[in-house]
Amino acid sequence: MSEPMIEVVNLTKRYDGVLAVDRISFTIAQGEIVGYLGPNGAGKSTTVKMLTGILRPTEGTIVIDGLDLWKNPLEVKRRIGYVPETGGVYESLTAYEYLQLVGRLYHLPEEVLDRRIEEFLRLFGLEAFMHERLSSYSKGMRQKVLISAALLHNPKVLFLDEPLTGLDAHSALLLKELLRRLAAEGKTIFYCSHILDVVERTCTRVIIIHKGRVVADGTVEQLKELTRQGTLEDIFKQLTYSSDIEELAQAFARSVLEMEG
Amino acid sequence: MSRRLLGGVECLARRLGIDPHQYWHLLRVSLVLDFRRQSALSTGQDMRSPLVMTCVVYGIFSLLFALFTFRTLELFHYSLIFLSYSMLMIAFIVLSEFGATIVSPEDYEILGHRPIGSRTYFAAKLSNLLFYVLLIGSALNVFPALLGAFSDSDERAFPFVYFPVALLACLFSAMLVVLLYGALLRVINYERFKDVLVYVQIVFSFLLVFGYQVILRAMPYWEQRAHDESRRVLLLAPPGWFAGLVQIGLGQWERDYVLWAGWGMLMTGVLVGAGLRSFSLEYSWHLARLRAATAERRRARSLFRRRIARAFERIWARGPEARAAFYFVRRMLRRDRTLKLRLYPALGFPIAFIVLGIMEKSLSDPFLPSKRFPSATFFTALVGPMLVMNFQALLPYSQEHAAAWLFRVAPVRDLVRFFAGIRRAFLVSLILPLFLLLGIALSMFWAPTHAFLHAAFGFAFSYLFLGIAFLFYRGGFPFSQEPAKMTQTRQVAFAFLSMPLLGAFLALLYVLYKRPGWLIVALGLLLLLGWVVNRAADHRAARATQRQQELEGGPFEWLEESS
Repeated sequence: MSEPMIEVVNLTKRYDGVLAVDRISFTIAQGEIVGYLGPNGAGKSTTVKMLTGILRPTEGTIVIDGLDLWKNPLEVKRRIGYVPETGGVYESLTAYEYLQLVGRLYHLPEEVLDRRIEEFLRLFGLEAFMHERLSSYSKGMRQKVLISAALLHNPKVLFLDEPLTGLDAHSALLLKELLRRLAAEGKTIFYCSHILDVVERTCTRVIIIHKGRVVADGTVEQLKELTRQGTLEDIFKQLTYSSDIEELAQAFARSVLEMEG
Repeated sequence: MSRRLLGGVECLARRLGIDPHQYWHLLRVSLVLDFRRQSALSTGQDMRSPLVMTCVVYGIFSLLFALFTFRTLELFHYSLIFLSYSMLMIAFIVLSEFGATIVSPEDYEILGHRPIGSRTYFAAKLSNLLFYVLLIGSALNVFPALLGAFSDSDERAFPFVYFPVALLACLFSAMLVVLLYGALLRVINYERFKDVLVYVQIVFSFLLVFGYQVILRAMPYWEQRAHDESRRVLLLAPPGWFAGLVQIGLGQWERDYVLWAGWGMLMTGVLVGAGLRSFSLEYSWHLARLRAATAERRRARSLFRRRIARAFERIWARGPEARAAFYFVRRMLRRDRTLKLRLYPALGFPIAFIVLGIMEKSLSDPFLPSKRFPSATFFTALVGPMLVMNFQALLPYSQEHAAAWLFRVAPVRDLVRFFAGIRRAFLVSLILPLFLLLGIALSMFWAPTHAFLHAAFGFAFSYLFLGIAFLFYRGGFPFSQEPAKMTQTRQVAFAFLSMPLLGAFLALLYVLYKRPGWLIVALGLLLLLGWVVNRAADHRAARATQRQQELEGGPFEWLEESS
């Protein structure tokens, strides 16, 4: 096995007494694509924000590429790229200006930066819009800009929080293929998502969390064997939902249709 | 030479823990963002920058103020009064407009995972703030500085000494507010922080209104006792320190001036040191903590209270559109922090004037014959128009503007009723209780009938003024636009240009109060006129909103249908 790139030990986050993440521990090796799954409010985004240095953990340690995140925050942040779930852009800037700012914050040389921005935007089909303000961009276009910003400085570790949000089918396919290639080149990818079949097809390993705790960790095959379920969706349902989904949906539909009567 | 200088500055910045390359780009982008946000809010007819207009309006105010005082006050007191004015205004503007510049969790969400040091980030944010402080500080002080040269003291060097000292005083004032933010951030979470900040700002604004009145009235007293021991109390007042520094700059080496100036320099050093050392080092950490904000939990109302509330809404707002707007605006008046911050300090106005009236013994019953014009009494009635001006200026803006898509897709068939609901929510939530309380407060000094009659006139005029203000409403659904720096300050500053109308109202009150026979008729006429103007204003605001939405290319089939 390759050397560990992300080491998380007893990671805990408490908000005013409410436990959002509860003593999570895992190690991710270089070149792995790890899917991080969980229902709404399970603590996925909180974990990612702690791993990227946006949130400070209540307890626990995070070591990335051999460096403790909270002892060497700037060094670690230079090694990571992050695609956030929402927001994450200054809407009054153009895509070019935004990426230029990001590149400059990482001290990329101007000529390299210009070349990379143009190349990335061309690959995502945004070159015609690069001098338009991000406020005029669609959700998918913004997502492409965020992905470009995360890759601009060639990070060793990539954190993706719902990266396919708003992307069209072609761009989604492109991103999935890109992730596989980056992993093959030794990049470590932490992929946070709700879309189970994408995780099943893209990730080499899956971590499932529920109510702030890790309830499953392994390859999809290992989890199928362990839970005796046929698909990742069935595994997820078994581990994270106590009530019957069909019954819930029926009650909901009754409530919606009440107005017609 | 310049390259060596630049190298030296870079070296110094690195020694202070600031990455000059990142600092420069962060600052540049933050200013670009501010200017673009401002211009995005300008409509086709008005492309003037809110910042420039704010500077012009403040410049005119201080010019007028300086014209009244430069020949009448001694130079030390002249400096003192303008330094007090500038420092208070700067502190107020920083508190009300630049909260998000100093503490912005949204900004941190974009930059938090990037390799930016705490000090670099703080330095960029602070520089952004100081850029505005220097611009507004210049606008506030350029005319007083120039006119000071032609005072009775005939000090031609005055502008060259006063102007840089005034800018230093403005920077001191801004830094003090930044440290206040820092101190609050250390002890509380973000939701609580925002609440506390609103209350601090309200108290501060009250002090601004009240303190300003006190300074104006205390000035003749201070001048009389100019060389008295008692003026040493100025050692406690920052404007006094900087006024002392101006005197030293003019070569007046009196012991008191040296003492104040020395103390001022020392305190400035301590303040800047504290800001740069402790707060800047922990800046990112504080912002990271803000991400840990918890949602406010509100207790659900009981069924009985909900029924009462619904019945109350039905009385004041007829039709679903009016009720929706009424409910929405009442909730926002209670919960929107910006709105609370900009509206509630005006409530300090009647309190300040009642206190001043007691102090000056001018809180006499205006309905009784008296030789003296009871100015304090009349000014208490102006709080209504002040609230109206602020409300009209603030109505289109909110930090939660993104949720306004709702108005563009929900079937608001009757925009006229919608605006009627907005106005009534404001009247019922603020104006009516305010004048009831004023009536009760004044009953302690006058006959209750007179007190409530005065309050009723205040209410009727506020009602009329609300209609007039909405005749000039530029359109837009409530709380549907992103607030940009200086936009609201500019609008409020413009609103102050309606002072002649308020003056006419005071004169009308003065005439009416001396003729009891006309009072009830006049009150009835004022309310009737208010009703007519408010109806017209609803139609005008609805049309302006419709036009604005059409310009934005919104879906308008439903409006055409209804018309």
